[in-house]
This record gives sequence, structure tokens and C-alpha cells, in this order.
Amino acid sequence: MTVEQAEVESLIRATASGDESAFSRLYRIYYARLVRYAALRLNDKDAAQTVAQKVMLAIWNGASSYEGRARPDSWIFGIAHHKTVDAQRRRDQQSLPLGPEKMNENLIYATGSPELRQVEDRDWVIGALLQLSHHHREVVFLAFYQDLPYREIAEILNIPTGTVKSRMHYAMHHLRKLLRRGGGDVT
Amino acid sequence: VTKPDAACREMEQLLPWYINGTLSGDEMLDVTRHLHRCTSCRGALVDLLRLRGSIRQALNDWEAGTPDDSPRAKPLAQIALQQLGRRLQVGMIGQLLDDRDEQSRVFAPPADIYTRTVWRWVPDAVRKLLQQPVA
Repeated sequence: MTVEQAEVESLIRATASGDESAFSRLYRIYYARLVRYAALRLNDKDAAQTVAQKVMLAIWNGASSYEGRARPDSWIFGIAHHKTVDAQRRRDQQSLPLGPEKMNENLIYATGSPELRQVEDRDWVIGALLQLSHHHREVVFLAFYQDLPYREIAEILNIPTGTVKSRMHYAMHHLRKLLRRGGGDVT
Repeated sequence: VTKPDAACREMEQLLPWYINGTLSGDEMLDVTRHLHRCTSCRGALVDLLRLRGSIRQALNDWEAGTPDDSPRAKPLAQIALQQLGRRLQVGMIGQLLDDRDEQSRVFAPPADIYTRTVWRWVPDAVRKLLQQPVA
């Protein structure tokens, strides 16, 4: 376990006993990451922020249920996965198409300033990530941004470990193609 | 080994987790041994390292690009206090626990979090608000 994960685990324990400063620290560490995780699936900044807030509240209310069997990151992103899937399901059930204004706002959120997206590698990479299926984006995020083991990713997503590995393999292959096709020299 | 073979396919699928350092000891050893003798997989490793670096950088920059007014860096209690403060200012304290739908767009705590956190902040919030003229 890394030092950060050990720290996070102690913060969760402290949160379970009602320590608000420990929870504030967790909030600072995870809120933006959770927004990013949800946004990669939902492609909607507002919805992603709502998901992140709900996850943080679930942590506050459920910190005592963390048993320490998995890494703290896995526990937190397991909650995030469920909340994000719920949010997507609700949106799909409502079947509300995004208006042009909303679409444009989301595109800007996804790819950065429109004026810069032709020249910045970041925008090519985020744009390419958003072209992957959400199944693949999730695995890439959890493996390469959260540095989670494939076994724990399998638990979070409730899929076999072989599927995690094959999704990652496909995602990398597809990302390389997208980035080269897009002209970005990032691989 | 200089050309991909069956072992390469298995090893390549482990490379992302070799890079993030979360393979088991045995798996780590297997991949390391394979990389020592396989130029193709060493090339794949370098390629993957660069791709991972780009992804992490892009996501970190994306994080920096979120609006400054987002509540991402604010502790929960501070957000709750601000919302409670706004409601006190417009005399809506009685509706605090009733209009959960409206709150859910911004901040949707279950009722017990108010008991555990927010109400402890009320005296301070009230004190601060009393010091300010109501608009």
C-alpha cells in the first residue's frame, strides 16, 4: 500500500468516527478525481459534479462500513461506479436529449478551450478518451489514473479479470489509432 | 525472442499493471523475465509508458480546467454552511429539510447529515449572518 493509500485509509477511519477535518481532507483529495471519473462516463459536467457530491456523502455516511479488505481507492471508486451508473440510468430513462447549448458546453468541458484544441495534446487525448466506449474509458481511468490493480478493477466493475485486461488492451490499441489519426504526437 | 508470440499476448495484457506497479510478485517476475528477452514487448512497454504519461497529464490538466467556482476544493461543512447561510438570509430555514429536490441539484445530503454536521454550524452561521445586513 502506498503512503497515500495508508493516509487515505486513516482518513476514512477518522471520518467514520465523525472527524470533519479528516473528511474535508478526503474531499480535497477525491472530489475533482470523482468529477473526472463521472464526467468521462456521463460527458456532462453538472451531472458529474452531482455524482461526486453524492459519492462524498456516501463516504461520510458509510465510512464505518469500510472494512479495509480492498484499497481505499477501490472502495471509493466502487461507490463512484454505482453512483455514475445510477445517474446514467436515470438520464437514459428520462431520455432527455441535450440541447445545442448544453452539448457545446459539454464539448468545451471535454476538450478544453475550442481555440486551443487543435494545438494542445491534452485536448487530443481527452477527445480520444471520449471516443472510447464508457466501458473502456472506465478501465483506462482506473488503471492509469488511479493506479488500481486489475483484480480490484474487476471487483469495482463486477466483471471477470480477463475482461478487464482485454478491455484495457483494446482501449490502448484504439487510443493509439485515434491519436495518430488525429495528428497528435502523444504516443 | 524478437517477434511476438503467444507468451507476448499474455504479457502485453499485463503491461498496464506492470507499469502501475500493482501486479503480484509472481506476475511481476514473469513480465520482467519476458521483457529481458523480448524486444517486441519492450517496445510495447515504452509505447505504453508514453501513452500513460499523456493520459495522466491530460487528465491532470483537465482537473485544473474545472471552474474555479466549483465546490471541488471546499470542505463539505463549508458548502453546507454557505447553503444554510443563503437560506437563512432569505428566511427559508423552515424549508431547509423539505425542498430536497431543489437541493439535489447542488448538494443533496440525507437528513441525518444535517443533524451530524450542519446544525452544529448553525450558531456560528447565525452569528455571522446577524453581523451582516439582510439584503
